[in-house]
Amino acid sequence: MSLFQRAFLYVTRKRAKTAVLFLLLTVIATLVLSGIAIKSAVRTAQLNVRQALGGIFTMRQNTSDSSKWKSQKVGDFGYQSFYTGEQLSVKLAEMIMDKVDGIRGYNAGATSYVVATNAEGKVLALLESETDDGGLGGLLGSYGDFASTVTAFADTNTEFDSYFTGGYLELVEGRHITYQDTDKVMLSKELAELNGLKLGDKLILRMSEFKASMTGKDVGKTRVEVEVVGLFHATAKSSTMLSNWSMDNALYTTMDVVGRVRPEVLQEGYEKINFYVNDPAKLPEIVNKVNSLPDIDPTDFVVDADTGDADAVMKPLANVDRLVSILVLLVIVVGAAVLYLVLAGRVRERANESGILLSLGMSRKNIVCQYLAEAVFIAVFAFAFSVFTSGIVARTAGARLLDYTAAKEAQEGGAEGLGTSVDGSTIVDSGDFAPVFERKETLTEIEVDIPVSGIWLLYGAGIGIIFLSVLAAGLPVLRMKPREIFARMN
Amino acid sequence: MAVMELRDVRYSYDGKRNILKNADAEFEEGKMYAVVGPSGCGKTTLLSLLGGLDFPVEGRILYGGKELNCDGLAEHRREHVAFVFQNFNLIDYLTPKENVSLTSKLPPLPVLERVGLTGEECGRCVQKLSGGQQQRVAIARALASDARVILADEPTGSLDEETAGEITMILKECAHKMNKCVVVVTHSGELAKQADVVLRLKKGEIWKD
Repeated sequence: MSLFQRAFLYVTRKRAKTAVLFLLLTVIATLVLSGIAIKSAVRTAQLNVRQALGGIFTMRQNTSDSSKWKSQKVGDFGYQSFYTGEQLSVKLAEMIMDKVDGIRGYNAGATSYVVATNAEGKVLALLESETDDGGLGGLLGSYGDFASTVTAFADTNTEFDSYFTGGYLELVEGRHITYQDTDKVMLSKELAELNGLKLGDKLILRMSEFKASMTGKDVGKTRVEVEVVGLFHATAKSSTMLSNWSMDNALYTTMDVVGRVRPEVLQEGYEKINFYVNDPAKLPEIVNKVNSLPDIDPTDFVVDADTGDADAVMKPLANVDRLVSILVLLVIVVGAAVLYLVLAGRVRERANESGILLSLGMSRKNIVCQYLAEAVFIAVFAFAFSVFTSGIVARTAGARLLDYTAAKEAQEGGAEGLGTSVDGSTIVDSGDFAPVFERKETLTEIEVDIPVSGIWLLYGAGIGIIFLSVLAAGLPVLRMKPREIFARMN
Repeated sequence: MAVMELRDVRYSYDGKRNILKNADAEFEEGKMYAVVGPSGCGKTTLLSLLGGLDFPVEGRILYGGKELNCDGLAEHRREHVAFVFQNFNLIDYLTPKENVSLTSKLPPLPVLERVGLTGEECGRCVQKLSGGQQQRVAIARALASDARVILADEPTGSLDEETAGEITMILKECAHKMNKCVVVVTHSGELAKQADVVLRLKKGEIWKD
């Protein structure tokens, strides 16, 4: 009878012992494979996040030189300071695009507040948000139509707007707007539905009467008719200082339109330009190239790579990665130790059987190989079963670990920069009145699948550990003298 | 002609007290030998030397006229000798047929039937067999290995009188009808009476009755 036949008969007839080893191996393999799966998923998520958020650099005006600031009288109310340095412009952005490789797109943006009416001049009904403005909205209601103003973003390419690239807004109908468009607008689907608007409909944007009275403008001369070309939807809740400035009421258009409605915005120019690079790993190199361009005067512009958003999402992922690495290592070490103890116990209690086989002339190698074959036979099935169990465990544990570390991160203050704030909300734009979004969960969700390489690793390493454990456990048998065995058997 | 011989064998555990000294003996096929003597006199040591489980400090052990050496003991155990133990020493997760098949050179079922087991008993779990039946399986395993020498250590020690008698008769048949050399270590006077040759161990020396 071959050792494999003996091993098969042992495994199939000593069912309780087989079940114990099967369960032990399944638990160890499930924990290890779950860890490998979570690690793999976290690494993929890190890569995706880095791709989605990490490859951005921003250009702003260098407003630190006080000599470039000028005061100007505004209407009858007083003075306002204006920055008179070099402006951020489409020409500047296009020049950078031409001279520096590896940039896939950009968006220059400015924010303003306008009143939107339908073609008949009726002010649009606005969506109410849960914003607690501390009564400010009611107070401002007394300032004419100020409470009817909505946020108007002047973008050169809304596709590269940080709210859209961050996934907080998504285009649901129509198309994006670029600086080459003439008199076009995008608004939220919800606002469009509230006012019975659809793609192709016309709106009129104008300065608020309150602002016009302050600056001595004629409201009638600030009217610009725009066509609705795109509808978007906010994927996460956001909050703003005033309910009427919420993202649901916001409009996207071009600087040309905003400049006609609010000439002072055109005078100030774009607030910043976000550039998106193809390979996040090359971001520092690209930023250096931009800074060294002869046309970029550091006294006029500041270029920096802000990784705050990416860091905010990456930190919980990195924490999970580190935590899982420690857990996997711990499980392997403890699992190997437990496995050795269990197998050693089994070999010890089978000393009599070893003696019988030795007395029948079988070699020690043959006997230890039988024990190894039994363990491997059970392991093959236990590891296969663990592929299913680890799928369930990994998905549950991965999500829990991520929630735990994300919550912990939020409690501890999160990452620096534009990223996550203490309460877990995310500021995507840096403006004082910019909407603040709640953390968008999809950015930190992980898709957990058992990698094939993980299964091979489990089988390879698992059988290797079993081999060493059986060998170590079989040492007493290998060292036992036939005479001792004979004495034990009698 | 002797199948196994001891020539001036000395054995000691610690090099001081001799368990066996100047031991000479010859064992022939077709005969049953009973090794008797008080506890601790070296009976089991003698059996383990014959079975290749240990090696003497001095002297020679010959099988078929050839001297055994340390390197060939595993082969000697596998090819030339077979053991029968007091506590049967069967593998508990195997059936009688499978136990016999472990090192069988002969078809196991006829051998099992020859020692008195039925076909149904041959397929049962060994733990469900009586002591006598288990000892029959152990003897069948020894016979099926086709070894010329059967070494039995107290084979009737844990059996009742009637069953012990039956096992004694089977061992005797192994010697007389199957031409095996059967060496039995025993305290049993009844078994010793059935042996063809009684070897008595006294103070490490072998005396032939």
